[in-house]
Amino acid sequence: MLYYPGCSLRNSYPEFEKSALETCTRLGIDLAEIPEWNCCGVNFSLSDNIMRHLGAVRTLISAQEMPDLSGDEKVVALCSMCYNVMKRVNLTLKEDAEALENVNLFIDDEVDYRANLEVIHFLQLLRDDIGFDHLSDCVTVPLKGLKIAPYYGCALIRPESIAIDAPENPSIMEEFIRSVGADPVDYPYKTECCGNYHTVMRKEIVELRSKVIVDSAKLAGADLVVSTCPLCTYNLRLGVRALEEKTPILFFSQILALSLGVNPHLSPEREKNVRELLEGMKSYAK
Amino acid sequence: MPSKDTTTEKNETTGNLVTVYIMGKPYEVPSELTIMKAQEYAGYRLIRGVGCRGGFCGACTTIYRKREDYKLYIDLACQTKVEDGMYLVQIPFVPAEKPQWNLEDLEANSDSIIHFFPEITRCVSCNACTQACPQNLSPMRAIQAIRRNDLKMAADLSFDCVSCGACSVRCPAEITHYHVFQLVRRLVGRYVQKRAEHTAERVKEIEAGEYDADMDILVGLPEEELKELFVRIREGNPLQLPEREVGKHD
Amino acid sequence: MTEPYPEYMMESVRKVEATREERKDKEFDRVSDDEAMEILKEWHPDYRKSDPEFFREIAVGPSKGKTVPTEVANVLEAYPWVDPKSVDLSVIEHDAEVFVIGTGGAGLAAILWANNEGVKMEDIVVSTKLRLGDSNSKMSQGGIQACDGEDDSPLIHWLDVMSGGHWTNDRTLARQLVMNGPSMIKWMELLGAEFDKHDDGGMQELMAGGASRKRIHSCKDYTGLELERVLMDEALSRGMRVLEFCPTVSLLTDDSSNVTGGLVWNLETEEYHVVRAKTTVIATGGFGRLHVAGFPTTNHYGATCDGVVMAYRAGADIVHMQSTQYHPTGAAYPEQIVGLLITEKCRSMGAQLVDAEGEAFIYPLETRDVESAAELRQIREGKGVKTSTGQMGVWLDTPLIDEIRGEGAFEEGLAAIHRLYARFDIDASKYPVLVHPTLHYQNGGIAINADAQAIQPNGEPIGRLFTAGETTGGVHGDNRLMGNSWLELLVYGRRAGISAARLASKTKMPRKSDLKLTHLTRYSEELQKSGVKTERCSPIILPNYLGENTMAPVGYGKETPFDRRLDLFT
Repeated sequence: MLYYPGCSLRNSYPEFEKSALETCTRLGIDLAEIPEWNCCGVNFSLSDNIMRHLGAVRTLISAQEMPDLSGDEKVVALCSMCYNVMKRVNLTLKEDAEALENVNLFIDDEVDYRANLEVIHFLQLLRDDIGFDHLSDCVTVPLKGLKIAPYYGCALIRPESIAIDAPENPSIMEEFIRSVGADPVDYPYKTECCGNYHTVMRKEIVELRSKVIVDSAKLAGADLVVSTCPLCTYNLRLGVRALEEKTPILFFSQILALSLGVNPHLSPEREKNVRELLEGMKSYAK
Repeated sequence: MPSKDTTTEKNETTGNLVTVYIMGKPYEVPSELTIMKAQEYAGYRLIRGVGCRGGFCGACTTIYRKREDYKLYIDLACQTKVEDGMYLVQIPFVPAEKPQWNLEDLEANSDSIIHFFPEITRCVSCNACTQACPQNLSPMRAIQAIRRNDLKMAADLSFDCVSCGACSVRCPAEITHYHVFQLVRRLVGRYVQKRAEHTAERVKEIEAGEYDADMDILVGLPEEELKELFVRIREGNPLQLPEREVGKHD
Repeated sequence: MTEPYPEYMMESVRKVEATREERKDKEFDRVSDDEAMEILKEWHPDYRKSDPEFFREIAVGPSKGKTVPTEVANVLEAYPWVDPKSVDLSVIEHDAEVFVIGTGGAGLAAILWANNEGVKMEDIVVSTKLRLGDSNSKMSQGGIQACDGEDDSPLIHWLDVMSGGHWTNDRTLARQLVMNGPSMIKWMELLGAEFDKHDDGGMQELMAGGASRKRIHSCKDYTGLELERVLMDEALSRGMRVLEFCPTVSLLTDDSSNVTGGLVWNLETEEYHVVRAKTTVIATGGFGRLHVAGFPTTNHYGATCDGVVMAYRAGADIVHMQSTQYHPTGAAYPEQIVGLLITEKCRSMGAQLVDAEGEAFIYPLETRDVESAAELRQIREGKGVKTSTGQMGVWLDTPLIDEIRGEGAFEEGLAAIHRLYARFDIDASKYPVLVHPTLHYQNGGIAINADAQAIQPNGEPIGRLFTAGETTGGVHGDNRLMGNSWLELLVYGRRAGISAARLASKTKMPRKSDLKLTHLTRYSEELQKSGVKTERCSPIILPNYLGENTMAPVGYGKETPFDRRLDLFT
């Protein structure tokens, strides 16, 4: 399995990557990091111009040229924004022969991209390659009684062509939450946008939206919210600074790590709250 | 007694003349010349666009096209020979402000770099920078290494940069790579590389005055004695000063 | 593969190839001391003291009667091109606590340490001839010495410095040099310079020629570039004010001969700027572009001895100016790299110096001066190779390195040189390269004391004038060791900055009436009286390579190098 980390978790949210890598070791998933991967091009994520996405193409070429590949490998991303951009670029190149040719002509300092890789998200890896049933069997510390609100945001499920689940009412995160022994919380804002890059120039937009999302999850009884995206996490935490003490927002990989008994890499300011939550549960009382 | 004027005849050329267009004006110049010397041959006294004349300083960035070739080339004028039909111009300056920073306030991570140079996140990996680099470096790879938070790799990839600015002129993301790389390298030198303990130790000894008394003796010795001492230390022996108290650092 | 040299040179290459097998295992006789002296006396430019083509006594100024290279005498026995009558000194554009002239390593060190000493950056005015940082400092490749090794000490370093300088160095200055070595390395380290280190942070140190301990600290092949750009970045980050393309062309003095600032010439707008200063630091670098004795040079375009000229007219003594460092293997072909350094390591690894006829004419590892002299002998005797631009040279038979050490040894051990020639489609592991001695370093210069003050022949300092770097003399004596130039410019640049800052803190800003050029008028009068008939003006600011001079292998024509130089302002 070829692994694409992405800039945000490498720079700002190491707990996301570290907890995920520990779970892979436990689950026997062999991830090979793509050498010299580029930024996925998230700044231009909404651009249809393939020339704005040369970084993603170069990363795919680098992956394609890794040694000992069978030729139809999957590239797995943890960050849902990276997934979104990489998947869309890859899809364009698979479906649009002219775009592929143009890009290959433009990138004259590399070999051609043959467009035979697949881009998937880590949740898909868990669902399709490991299987949630099998994952359940691997759980050593079921998070029984913990109420977890899944937050999808946009990137995993929009646009439809690249969605990892039904865009209108996805359930993959709920299935994941059940497989680690916890209870998913249903709430109406799970696929609402967090405000994304408005966080740079118009913070008030993000604060408002995030507050609505987290309030809604909390009203539905959530102990904590899990996210798949560094930017969403940043934004949700922004909007709920006051609430967060009671409603931690964690990465899904940290929940997985807890259930597998490996280091969830909780940051010190969140460690205490989460431990308190867990100690309230029978299964975690040793 | 030979004098310096006889070692060679002056100024003969066996080479051909070629036509180059300096800012559009045609001149016939000897084909062996560099772009820099060709301009001087043509009568241009260079102030901008000239520096060390040895490929180290990056002052003489020159842009040119060749006959029947659409491609735009960028090189150092002091390191590139003229060709017949070449159209060329020197870049006098690459406009860019260098932000001010205090190394002591920064950490060695990509956030520090992005704080001063947010535009590096606009890199689309087009690699125009690499094609422009007269030093054959890859600024794109270095920028992407910063994005991966691999500052050491970015510092290594950019170490031979002479700050000519050719990459920055070509970059569609408007990155000023040479300023970015300077910050990266200083952060790596300051925080990623380990400190030399033995250097700090010797500084302490010197500041504590441990060598002063011996130095006083040594600098007062006659030349003949110094020469003898030198022969002995040259063979790897420790230094033994004549008639003195035993110093602390032997 | 096509041949890398034109046919007229290939003829000679084939002669070199024909004798290679025979030369390969040849035991060379080392020349005896007497023979060496004979070669030097006959052929080395430094030993032509009585030949007026090479040396003459200065006829004017504080060091009148001292013997210096002709080219140096030419710029000293010259009229100031500033006409004191034509300059309006009443319009003061810049006021400075400390005025620093030059932005090589010494100038930047002075700026930063003056700032450390409490002078605000906005009160430091800096002038530089071309761009910020344009200097020989930036071009230095090898490294910087400092005695921080376990088997090393300041005493051992001091002995090396003195021995390298043939025991002619100023002992106190040399002492200060070595005692401050480790602290300067530590300073650069904290500023973020990337030294070549072991994983544990310990310095990778190499042996310099003439030294007895490994103490060369390097930053790959770009030591000077790395250290210089770190200093530049730090100074800019602290808010340095720098006047670029503004060479200082004269000091200003008051009636008591104190230096009160400088007169700056803006090369681009062609106007003067008056800088009034409490203290002034000259850090203008060396004289390679005077092409002393007619040699090509490794030096920067702007290395034209300006600092010595200005300080001399203000009353400073000059010392060790009769000694010049030549490096035996500067590139002589192709034209693009003439004068660039080809490291001595080539010869350490087995390359020999061979003339146009294929004869190896000297043991390859004699001292630099002897090697250079022997090359000049072969050329003079008609056994040199002349390129199409008229440049002379002899062969450095580099293919021997692979022959002796096995295929690939050259590329591995001399990667930089290999790349340098590969750029011009010359595979130096297969074909010899053409070399010629090249002018490398100004050993002497303005006399200074331990506080980096410029001093007069009687030892008294010139008021408010400080100086550091290649423009000064005394630290290295008659010969500098590799790696001590960067050390010197840091140690004495720092010293000059601190001394200037301290003096400035207890000195009043000069009055308008204290800004004068009377010392120039006096100098011109003395020159006139001396009987020297000349229309030369100096400082020369930039060498003249215009028109046909571009083609000339500098110094081989009938005329003296000075004649080729554009006098900017006449």
